[in-house]
Amino acid sequence: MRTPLLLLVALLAISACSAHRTAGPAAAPSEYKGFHRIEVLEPVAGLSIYHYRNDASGLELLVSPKPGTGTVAIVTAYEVGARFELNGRTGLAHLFEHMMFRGTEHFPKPFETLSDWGGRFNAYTTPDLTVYHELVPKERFNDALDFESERMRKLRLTPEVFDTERGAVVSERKMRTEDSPSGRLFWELYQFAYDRHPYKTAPIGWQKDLDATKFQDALDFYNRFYAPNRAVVSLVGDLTVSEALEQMDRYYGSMTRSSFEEPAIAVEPARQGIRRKVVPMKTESVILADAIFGATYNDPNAATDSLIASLLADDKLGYLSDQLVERGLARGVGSDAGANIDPGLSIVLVTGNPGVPVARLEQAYDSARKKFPSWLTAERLDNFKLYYLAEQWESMRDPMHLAEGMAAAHAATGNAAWDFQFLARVQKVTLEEIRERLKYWDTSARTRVILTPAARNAPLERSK
Amino acid sequence: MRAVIAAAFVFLVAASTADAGIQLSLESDPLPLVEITVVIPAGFESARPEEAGAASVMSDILDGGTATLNRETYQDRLASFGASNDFTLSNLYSVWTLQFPIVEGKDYGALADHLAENWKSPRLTDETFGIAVRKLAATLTASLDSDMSLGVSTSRRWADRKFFGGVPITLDRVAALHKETTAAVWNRDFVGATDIWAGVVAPPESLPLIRTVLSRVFAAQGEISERSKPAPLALREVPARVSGADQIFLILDKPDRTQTMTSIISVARDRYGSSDELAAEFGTYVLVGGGLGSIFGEEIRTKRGLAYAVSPVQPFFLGHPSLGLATNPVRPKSDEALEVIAKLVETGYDKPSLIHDLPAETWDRQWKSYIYGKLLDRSTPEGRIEERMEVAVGELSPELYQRKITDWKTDRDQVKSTLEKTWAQSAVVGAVVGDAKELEPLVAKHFPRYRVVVIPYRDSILSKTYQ
Repeated sequence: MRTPLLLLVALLAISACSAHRTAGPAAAPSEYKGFHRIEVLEPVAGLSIYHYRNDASGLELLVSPKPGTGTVAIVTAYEVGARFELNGRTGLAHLFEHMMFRGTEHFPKPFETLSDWGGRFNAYTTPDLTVYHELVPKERFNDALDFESERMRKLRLTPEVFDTERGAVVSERKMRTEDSPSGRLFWELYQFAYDRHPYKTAPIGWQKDLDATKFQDALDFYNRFYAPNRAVVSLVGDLTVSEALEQMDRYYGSMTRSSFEEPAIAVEPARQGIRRKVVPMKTESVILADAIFGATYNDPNAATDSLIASLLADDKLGYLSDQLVERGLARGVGSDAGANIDPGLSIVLVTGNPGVPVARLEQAYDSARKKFPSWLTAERLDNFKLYYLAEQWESMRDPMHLAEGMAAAHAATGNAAWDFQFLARVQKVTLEEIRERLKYWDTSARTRVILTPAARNAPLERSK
Repeated sequence: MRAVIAAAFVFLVAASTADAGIQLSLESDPLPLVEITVVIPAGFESARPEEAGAASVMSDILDGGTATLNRETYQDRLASFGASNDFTLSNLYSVWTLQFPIVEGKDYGALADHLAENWKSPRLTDETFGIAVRKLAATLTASLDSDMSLGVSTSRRWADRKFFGGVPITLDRVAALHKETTAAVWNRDFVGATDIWAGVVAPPESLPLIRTVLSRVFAAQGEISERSKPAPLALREVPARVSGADQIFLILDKPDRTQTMTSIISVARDRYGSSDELAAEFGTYVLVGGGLGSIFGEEIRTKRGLAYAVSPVQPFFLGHPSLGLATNPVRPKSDEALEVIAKLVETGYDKPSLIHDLPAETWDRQWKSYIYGKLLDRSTPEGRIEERMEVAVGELSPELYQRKITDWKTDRDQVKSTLEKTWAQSAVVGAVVGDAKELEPLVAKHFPRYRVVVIPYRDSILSKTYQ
């Protein structure tokens, strides 16, 4: 029997770029009709990820059995996000995510159908991907797969449903972006940081574009991007690999790939220096967002950036928490430094205490950033890495989270074990590497947007 | 004073409460990570003006170290174990959590000692007290930025003060708080709690270590008893002054919004009896709890596209049943949305024809959906721990918890009757956030029986609003 300690050692020992790959046991056949096994990943002792591909359709399949749970998590990640949207049609990827819940021939009312199976379902759209997920009792696994496969190619769309769903999206935009200080701040930050790259516009899109989008645009989007050769299906739970293959063949086996011309993504021109902007809004506190262009999935600096952001802005152990929150200047600090397909933003966020003016908060923040390297010691870094690991592990106990991580990582990087390898890389980051990378954080192109209290809402600009 | 227990209703929590001590419930998981959740039967609810906010201030001070370790040293010591410790408050109970990975060679007795000193002797000094008070005031002020939080929190403060005689936490109360009072509240209600519940997800080999941590930190609570069947903790009882005739609509005057955040919250005088518990929960699920598959979700979002969010309110307030919804219609559709919401509230709760008129097929589908959802909750170690925690805090009866989920039963008449009688003996507080000039005629038009109160939104965090 494995002891917990051995598991820990096994995880920490994973090489940055070599999740253990094996040929796979007999229970995982190398071929099943159209599916053939590509590899078996064992990113953590006791966890196997079986990777198959259907050559005819291009569909990627990931299976990780967890016997005895009585449930199956089903995640489908499509390689389409806001980065593929055209000018004048921003928000379409996210709007279409809503449309995917509006019915197929055999499942005319998906909300009801998914609720029937326990109601653990949702979806999200990022700049890179669109991800759909369900957790269902084992006995509804076949039905859920039937539904997922049908909405991949046979969604039933009508102009009426399109208009209704657009109404819900407009409401979501107002709640999350226009009336929400943090939502507004993120919108302004990305708009200000980028000149050309589509990451400039958050997945919610411009109101004007949502108004202008036509039903035919949605149909075209669906036909172009929702195809098996742009999808990864991930199954985690109480099923065997053979059961998964049999049902996948039943529901997806007859699909064929669609031709797809990769859209040209505008490259962000290099720039130097800092961009700074102050935005007035009806809010009680100053909120400051400071961003650099961050790492891509393939960049080894992704782990270092994530650590730097957390060391700076973790709410318990972050240096800024000690320097700003505990000294009465700020109400909270936070960070967002995940990797993207193209260089995204690594962001540090400071929310001031009500009444603390912009100049005071900004000066204190800049001062703390300067002192941060001398505060960081090797001992602090080692402690923090252990703390970071525990935080990440917590979510791995959840089959849905595991399935989502596998599918999203594979869709974005071609590597289902990317999350695990990322954690292993985090454990290897040294103090010297952090100090070296901090030079980039301090000297590369930066964008700073500050939200400041105003008597009235400064209206969100409708379009550029 | 009116009787708290009406003849037809039996207190769930009074049925059988835990003996003094620490109830421990372990869920095994092989990942070398220990997650401990402890429920203490004391929260931020206060009946004494001088104590309002004391528990909230202490929840921040806990992060600030111990009598002998300052914040930085204390947090560094926890970090050396990769440990994360949090303390969060509800009205009547609080939750202490600890999470850490198991690593060979670590002296976990030292971790337990640090945490024990933190719990029993937190670093309550003039300086840490001052900082915590400022933080709490900042949090209250910042809550004005979220329209959803603004509407729901104001309604709850209103209900607390007007229907239960509580003292809401407001800016002026926080400013008047004293360090000595805060310390007294901490020692009396938290350190001195007589019984607590602990749920753990961890490798089974780590049980001795978990016992060490719990017995040192919560030494005052006495012996640890491992239990697979949780018993309710003895939470403080807050009797209601609800007449059942109170219907108020608060308009939080905040111009320049692009949406009209709307919520309706009812709070019942009496608690659910054993036959009402399941009926109320399932009825809420059918009406609004089942998300976009629910009747309200279908009517507000799916059919009409009026709003993005349609969600239920928390099912209990101060231990009393609570029904209702929260949603965010876009401003140009406020009139239509309030009309739809008024109709749904009337036919869902007041004169509940929606449940009665539900086609048999839909009823069966919703029941299956509800039961599947419960089974999914029980399918993970965290879900099973959470369910036991619901028993500990009195939100799920031990009787229902112990019954096999597939044997749970209720029927349409029971659901209809429970929703109707619960609503009838409830006070109802509606709230909208937006321009009062625009909203007042709309509220009067669609909710004619409600008394309308306009509150400048910044006043919602001041005591004078709730006098």
